Amino acid sequence: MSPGTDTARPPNSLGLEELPLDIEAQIVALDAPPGREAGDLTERLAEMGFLPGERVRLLARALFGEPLAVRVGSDTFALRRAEAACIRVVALAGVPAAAP
Amino acid sequence: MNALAREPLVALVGNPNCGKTALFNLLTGSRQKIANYAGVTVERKEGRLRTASGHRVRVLDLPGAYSLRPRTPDEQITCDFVLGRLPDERRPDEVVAVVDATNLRRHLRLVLALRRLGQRIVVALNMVDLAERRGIRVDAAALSRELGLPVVETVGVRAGGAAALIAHLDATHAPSPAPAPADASTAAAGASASVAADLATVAGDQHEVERILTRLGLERVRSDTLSDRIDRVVLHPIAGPLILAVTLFLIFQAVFVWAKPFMDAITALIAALAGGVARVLPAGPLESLLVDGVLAGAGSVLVFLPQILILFAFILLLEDSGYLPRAAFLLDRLMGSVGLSGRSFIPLLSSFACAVPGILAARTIPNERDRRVTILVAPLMTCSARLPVYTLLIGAFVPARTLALGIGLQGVVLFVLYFAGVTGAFLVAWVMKRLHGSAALHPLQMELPTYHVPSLRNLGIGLLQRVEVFVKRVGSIILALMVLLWFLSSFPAPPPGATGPAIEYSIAGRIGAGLAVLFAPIGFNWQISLALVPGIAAREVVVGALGTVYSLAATGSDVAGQIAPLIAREWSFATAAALLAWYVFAPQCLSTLVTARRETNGWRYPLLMVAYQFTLAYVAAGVTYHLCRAWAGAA
Amino acid sequence: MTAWLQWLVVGAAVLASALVAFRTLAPFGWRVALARRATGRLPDRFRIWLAGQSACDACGGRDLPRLRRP
Repeated sequence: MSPGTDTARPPNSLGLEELPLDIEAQIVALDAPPGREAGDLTERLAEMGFLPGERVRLLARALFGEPLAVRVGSDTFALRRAEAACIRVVALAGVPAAAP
Repeated sequence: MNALAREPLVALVGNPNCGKTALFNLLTGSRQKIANYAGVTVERKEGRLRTASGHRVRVLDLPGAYSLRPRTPDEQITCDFVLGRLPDERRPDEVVAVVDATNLRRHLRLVLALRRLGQRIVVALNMVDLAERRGIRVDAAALSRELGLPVVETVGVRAGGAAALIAHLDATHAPSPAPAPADASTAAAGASASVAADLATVAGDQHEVERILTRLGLERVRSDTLSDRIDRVVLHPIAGPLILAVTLFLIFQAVFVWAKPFMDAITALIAALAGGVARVLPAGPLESLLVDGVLAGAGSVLVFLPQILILFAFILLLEDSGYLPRAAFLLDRLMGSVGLSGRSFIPLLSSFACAVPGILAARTIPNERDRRVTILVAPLMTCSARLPVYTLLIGAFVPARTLALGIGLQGVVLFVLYFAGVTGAFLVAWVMKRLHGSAALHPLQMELPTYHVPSLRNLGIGLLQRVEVFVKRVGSIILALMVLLWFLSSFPAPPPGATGPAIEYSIAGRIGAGLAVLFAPIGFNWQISLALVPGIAAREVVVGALGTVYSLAATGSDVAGQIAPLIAREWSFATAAALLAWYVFAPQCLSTLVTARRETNGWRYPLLMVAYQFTLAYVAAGVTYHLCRAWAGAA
Repeated sequence: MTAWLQWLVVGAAVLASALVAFRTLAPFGWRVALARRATGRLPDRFRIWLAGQSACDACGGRDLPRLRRP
């Protein structure tokens, strides 16, 4: 079963775009809204490193809430809210957000 | 086949911004552009490497790709080539998989995908210097064992940084009698199977990478903390845009203030040369050609070299540092409101240098509609060829007053002109959006690279290239057009007993007078109308053309290279302002149109470009002219 | 310098300029067509120069045609 078709949303998960700044979180699933380009979008996100199990963090939100600067692995990517919403995460409580 | 085809073919493949082009330059001695953002290279570039033992190897530099499933035209090139789908090129004999040692997590996934193709691969572990500085030590031998592929360490930005790679290529590509014929077909079969990779494969690859990294003791992610601290300020929702605005503003101030002494020196040199020619040669056709055509024409364009270099120095520094994608991040929302995305930002910013590379850079935009709109508005970004026109007119008509805080008025006017171009582009993009309807979700997915301290070597090379390009342009096409214009402006000679300046009886004088009918409503005299014609070839030519036309028309001994005081005397302020407005919008560049045709596969977009630009230019110049006259009349 | 020599230099300069302008500005197809038709009549080096690169500085001569073997 590929993670892209994994539509079961784990409890407590939220879209990456809802995550507060500087809170470490873990990706639990990629879940694009159904549509023509949904598979393509999640696939591209996966290729960039947004894979279940990876840790992510929001570094910045631009004025008016978009786009978002997201840290995944040691990369930073700029994403739109709609793209970030495809990434379901759970916040890792108690984990210090600052880089080592 | 000929000798060319038998030379071993090696291709550099890797994620965007992992330093492929820097390595390519080291291998082949080329001077291709490198910078710190994803998507600098949008075409395949070819070069030759001669190894220590004298073998020749063809080296191809390819655009970066995140995977072997292309999303953008530039990625398509890379994928087609690696898979051997290009009609005019065979599959490479070896792929150099370039990986960023500071970011193996992402980059190794592409290596795994390449490995499935059954290609011969060598992994170039690039940027090992940066990795070590960040405390990441990659054991190349262990990595090689885990991957089952040869691994060499490289530093793309240092002389000699590719020595290990060259030695490897030298050893593996000793001239062989013939390649194994079965090789190609089996590899192609493997290719079609593995392209059907999906999310599961990506996730599987990620587990494999995880396993390798754990083996190497690199499983802990280390990011650059300094980069993060800078981003905290630069990407701040309020401070970020302010920093961006101040930076751009200071650049335009510097363009005027710092260039002044250099420009004065060049002007003096040209004037001295013109004086020398006039002393040595008797008055006649040759003296007129040299003084009025060459020195007053081409020479007056050369004066603007210092300003262009200062502008480019700033652009190169911004590119090299990694700030550009941040600027795109900050402006994404604004551009989104007119139907462009942050992805359009870098192509549009490249257009500040020249619209041609800007239009090519639009290949990195995944959405086809966005790409076409970006191409359409790219010529409205103020390219460096407009700079001579702007600064000539500003220098002649705007007093060099200092406003508050040491801010010069001339720099402010220049800033306003650049701003007018950007506003025009947004306006056109907005209209296109209204006409074509807004598309659905456009992914942004733009990499924000780690900041680097700009390399002085890179800056030096970049500036030298600009000098070369500019001087070559002035020395070839601009000079040629000036000589032709001089010829057309000098013949036929005026009939005996004529009273006006000779140029008015020449072919060019008649053409100018004819065109002036069209341009008189927006305040252009016949000299300007005439100068606009060769200016279609390249914008800065108009400066040289005005130089030649006025030098010939002048009855006294006005010195070459000094058109500014001349036009300040001859034109009204309204005319100068109208010409500035014209140049913000006018379609005065053939190369841009040719490139747009090639990139959009047809004449529809270039013709649309000419039509809207001409209309905008005519209206803007007309409005400016009449407003200025009304204002002058009222004052 | 005598008058006729001056005219000679001026004439040569204007002719050379016209060639340079043609090479830089004329459409690629025209240049190649002209260079092809001149096969055998003009030196190869000159024909290749004339067909030359396109007007854009950015392409780095990628359009260079293979003229030696028509």
